Amino acid sequence: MRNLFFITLIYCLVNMASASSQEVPKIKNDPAWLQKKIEEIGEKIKTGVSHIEVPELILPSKVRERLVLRAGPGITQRKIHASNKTEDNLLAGGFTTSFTYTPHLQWEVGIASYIYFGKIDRLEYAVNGNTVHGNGSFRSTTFLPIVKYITDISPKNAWNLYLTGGPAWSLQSFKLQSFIDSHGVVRNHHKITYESRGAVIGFGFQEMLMYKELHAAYVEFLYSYMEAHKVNLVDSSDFTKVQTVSYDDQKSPINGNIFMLNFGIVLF
Amino acid sequence: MKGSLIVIFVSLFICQVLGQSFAYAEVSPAQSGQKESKLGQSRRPKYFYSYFDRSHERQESLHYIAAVYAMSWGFYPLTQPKTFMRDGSFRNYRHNFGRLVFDQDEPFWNWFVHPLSGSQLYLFYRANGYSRSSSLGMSFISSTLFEFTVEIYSEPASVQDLYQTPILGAVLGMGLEGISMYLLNTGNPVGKFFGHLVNPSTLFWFYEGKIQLSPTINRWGGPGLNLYAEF
Repeated sequence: MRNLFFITLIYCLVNMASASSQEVPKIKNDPAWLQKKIEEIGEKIKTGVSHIEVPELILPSKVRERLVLRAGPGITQRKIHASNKTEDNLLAGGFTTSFTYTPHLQWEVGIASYIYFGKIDRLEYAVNGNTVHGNGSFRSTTFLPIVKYITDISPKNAWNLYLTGGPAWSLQSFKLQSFIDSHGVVRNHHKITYESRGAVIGFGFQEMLMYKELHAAYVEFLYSYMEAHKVNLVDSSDFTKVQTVSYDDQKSPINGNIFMLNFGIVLF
Repeated sequence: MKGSLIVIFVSLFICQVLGQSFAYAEVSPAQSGQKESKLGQSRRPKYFYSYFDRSHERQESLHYIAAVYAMSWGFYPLTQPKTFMRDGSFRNYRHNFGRLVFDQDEPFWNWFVHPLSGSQLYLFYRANGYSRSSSLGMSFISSTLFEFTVEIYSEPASVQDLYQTPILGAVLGMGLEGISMYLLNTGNPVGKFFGHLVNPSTLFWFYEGKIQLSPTINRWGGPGLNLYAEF
């Protein structure tokens, strides 16, 4: 199974490498075509594009123009449930990115990541018989393959409504206070991490601009439901090599409902 | 630590947004009608640093991927000797082959070291004439090969590294690209020094031919390398 996965991976990577070169065709030696391109560039300058890449003049590339990297800040609000009915309302900030391909004017597919970090108050957890108290920093990293459908609904000029979503995988970390483990040993510099699975759905508005160089903006509101399936107690005293002290396979909705507000721009 | 990370990302993001405008906003004294001083003349940049995207044959792209891959086998034990010696073995390699996990690493690695390496990969491909999207694609290929066939010598491939190295690397790389081009085009020696420092790929032969590396044999018959650098 692993070998099959690896062979597929190598095959895909080699094809990607060749596609990367194929996406840039040879320079055309056609004065009429070149003149047309120069006029197009002139139009772009009139519309306020500050930077025009050379290949746009001589090498139009469909694949490259359809790949879009977006990034921007975001905030999240979530209720964290822990053991012994302890819970905390968390409001955290972070950084979000997405890299998508546009196969159709109204569809985008790609991958996205949401990273948030904040502070939590005293929460109580149970891992393999150890009761531990967490406070201090909270970190969450979520990855998902996304599909985006851009509707024709445009409440403001050139801002279109879109719907988005996809299955999500997440890792959340909580810094811990010193605690006494089930063997009576005092432990410091530990953290609890939850691996969760779930899904993200949401809607947003994005500027529909003709060229990526105009750095179209977007704003989106997302809702996510996640269920933890594995909890790890991790010794992070040596930052070069963290060690998992113990783990539990469990299914508990520790982060049932997560709300996210993200905004940003097209970088390229 | 966390605060400084936020500051770095936010500053680079702002620089990225503003970079294009301030990088091209310089007006020469001749244009503004002022008389240029001797100091001004000496500081006038000799070259205009920029990136020119060009076409690449499939073979050329494969050469770059192979070169980066070979370098990663050299850099990995050099940059993380403790991890390599302590946790690395071919038994681990076999065990980790094809595995994909969420790593438990500290933010220093996942949000700083990996994006930083990704940004340098991105800038390496930019210096070799790849467009921004293609540079991201090539960085993705290189970092995926590293994750699945090099780093597994000591630890399994990680989801975070697979995504964050090329994607956050490209975001960071764009910021560094804007900053380095601005600094290099100031004509100021200090600016040029820092411009090359944040974007070392601009020093190599594939960008401006200012560094040459050639093999040699020393007087005792040992192998060596001659490094020629011009600033």
